[in-house]
Amino acid sequence: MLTFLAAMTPGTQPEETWPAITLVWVCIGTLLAILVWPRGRGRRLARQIFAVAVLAFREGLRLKVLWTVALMALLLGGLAFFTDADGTHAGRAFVILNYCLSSGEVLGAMLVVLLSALSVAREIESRVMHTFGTKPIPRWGILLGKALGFWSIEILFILGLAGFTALLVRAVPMRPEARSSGMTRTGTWKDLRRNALTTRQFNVSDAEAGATARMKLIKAGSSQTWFFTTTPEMSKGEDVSVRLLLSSTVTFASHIENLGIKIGFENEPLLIDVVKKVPQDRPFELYIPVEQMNRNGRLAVTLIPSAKGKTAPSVAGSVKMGIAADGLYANLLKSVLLIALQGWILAIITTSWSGILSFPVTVALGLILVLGGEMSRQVLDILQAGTQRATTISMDSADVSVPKQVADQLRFMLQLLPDFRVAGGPTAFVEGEFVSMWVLAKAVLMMGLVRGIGWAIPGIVLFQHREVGR
Amino acid sequence: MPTETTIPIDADTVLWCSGLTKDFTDIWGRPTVRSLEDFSMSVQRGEIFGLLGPNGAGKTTTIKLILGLIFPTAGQVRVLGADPRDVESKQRIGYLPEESYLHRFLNAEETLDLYGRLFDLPKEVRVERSAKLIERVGLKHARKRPLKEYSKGMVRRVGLATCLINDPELILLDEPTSGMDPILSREIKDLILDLRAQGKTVLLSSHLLGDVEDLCDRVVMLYRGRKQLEGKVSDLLEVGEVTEVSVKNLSDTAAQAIRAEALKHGGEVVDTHRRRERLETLFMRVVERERSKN
Repeated sequence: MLTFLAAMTPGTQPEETWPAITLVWVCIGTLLAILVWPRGRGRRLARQIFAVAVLAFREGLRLKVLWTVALMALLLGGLAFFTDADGTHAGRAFVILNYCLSSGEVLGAMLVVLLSALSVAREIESRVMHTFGTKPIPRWGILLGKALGFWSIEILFILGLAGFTALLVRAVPMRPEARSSGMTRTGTWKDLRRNALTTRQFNVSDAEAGATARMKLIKAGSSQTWFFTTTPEMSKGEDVSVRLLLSSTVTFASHIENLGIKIGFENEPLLIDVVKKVPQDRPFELYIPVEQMNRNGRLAVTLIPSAKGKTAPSVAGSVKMGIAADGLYANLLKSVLLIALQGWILAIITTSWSGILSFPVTVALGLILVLGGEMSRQVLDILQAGTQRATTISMDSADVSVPKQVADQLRFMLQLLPDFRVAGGPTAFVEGEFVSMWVLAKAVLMMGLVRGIGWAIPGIVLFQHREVGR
Repeated sequence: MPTETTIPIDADTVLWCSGLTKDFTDIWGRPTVRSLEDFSMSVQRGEIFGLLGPNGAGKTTTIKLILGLIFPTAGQVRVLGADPRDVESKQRIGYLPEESYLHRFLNAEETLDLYGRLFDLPKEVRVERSAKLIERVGLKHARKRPLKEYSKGMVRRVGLATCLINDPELILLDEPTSGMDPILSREIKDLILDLRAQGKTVLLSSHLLGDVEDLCDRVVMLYRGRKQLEGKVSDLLEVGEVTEVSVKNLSDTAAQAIRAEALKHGGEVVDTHRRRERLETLFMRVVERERSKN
């Protein structure tokens, strides 16, 4: 069925884009159902649900909890702005992004849980539901409308927070930089934007994949070259980065001394020719201006570990070419989408269950949903960090993707509760992780539609059969 | 178990229930109180039907069962030919609960607009009807103020307006005049009579005997969850063996002569007195007089 649906959508490969295709068809199907429902009942129901959503939105705006949460988020962001972090502008920007988005994620979740739990439970206890519930709207319509209304408030909150975060990050270069990084400059806005805030896709051509994806051992004094095929369109108008991840036999050193790096096109003068100290076990990037990359050619990256000294270390390194994918604003937008996705899951679940549970129990349920997802993420991050360390010093070239697969399996197993981190989470881009739209579509489909509505259905069904008039 | 199976159901039967029983239960599902027992009735189109009984008789329980807010332990209910939980039939029903439970942060206009939207009324109809109802219930001057600033009577007026926003066929009023001043009570009663004149059906629940007597065509009386009597008000209140004669401009001598004539024909004079008007009538007359002065 999915293959058939994919075939109906031109220009797509089902095995790559099935979540996005499915999501599109789900949206189309829903719209058609609303439009063609007999006697216009679908459209009438949509209008009624919208009326309830507007009511919930207005109700939520009046509650002090919203403004308290907003103030807390602003204070945290403001505090983050005035920290020095590691002294570099990049470090400051990352702190601001981490603090603001993480607090927005948690505070937004709390906001949705409190609003959702409070509203329905309070209306039943105060008997407003006696008036509300005798109107020609099904009970599930009331719940859906309220969930949409409270979710809208959360979206408003995180959009505001994202805008505030962007302003703070934009203002970072206005402060003097206490210390600049030896490898990448982030002092000016232009440097900060390119060198720290732009997420890159580290795709390589199929022909080079085998060569560049793996770590290669380079003995002291010898050299190793990686090749990348370039085309004029690949840079997408931005400078291209060359990301290096190096490790040496001096295991506990933080840097590798006197590493020679030569980058240039075959049979042409070198674009980069340096010998310098580089970080060990931490990726770092060098940048090639876009005007030098807009060409067909074969770019060569050569690493030459120093032979100085009796025990000059051997170096293991991998090189990837990074194409600019998302800038700051695109990344913030994706973060907003991910946080909003979590908010939707929480809104629909807590609203539906608040129809049958009391307010305190519903709040407790919401907290479990929020913290349960967070706890599973913490565990997975710890496990993944350990396996990544093993990978960087391993010379086994058979399959470096095994640790990631193990982590993914563990993540799947531990996701007992709704966890939207299938897309890496709202702060993934801070670590340089690119989130494609297809991954977002998968998150929306699997987490939002399937898991969110799936968890809410029992609450909705039970509310249909609850006596609200007692 | 239903016992009255002869309750007729025809096209004019707007509301019908048979053998209705309701037990409230505790958290473990054990029955704690039987609020209604084997209750049956039917309401015909265009009449004002009274549910009469003291506090705790089961009147509100009956109304909640009719509206699907609670579910019967036994028996059946049909409202406008449909199950109480049917969403479509609610389009034609208006309900005024014994307390007006409304969203206090909305004002009167917004409240009516909200409920108009829930009935999916077109915008023009919503606006026009809201304006007319607000004026009808006397809240034009306060329509922009939030309900939390209203007095109890004002909130009740808004509740009444929301009850009528969809121009319903069947209106259920639970203690509509309870706690109201005489003026508002009179206005509500006039409104109810007006609704009947428009061909609508009203189910009125009250423990105020005067209201029921003034308004209802038929009544059923509940006590401790059981039906005690049912019938037309006029028939139920008629004291068959007493005849009342009202005469104007009669002298005391003529009154004595009429007494003597009644005794001659075998009658027993129970009482003679000058007619007393009702206190409500006197009150309204005084208020109207003062209003006309202003």
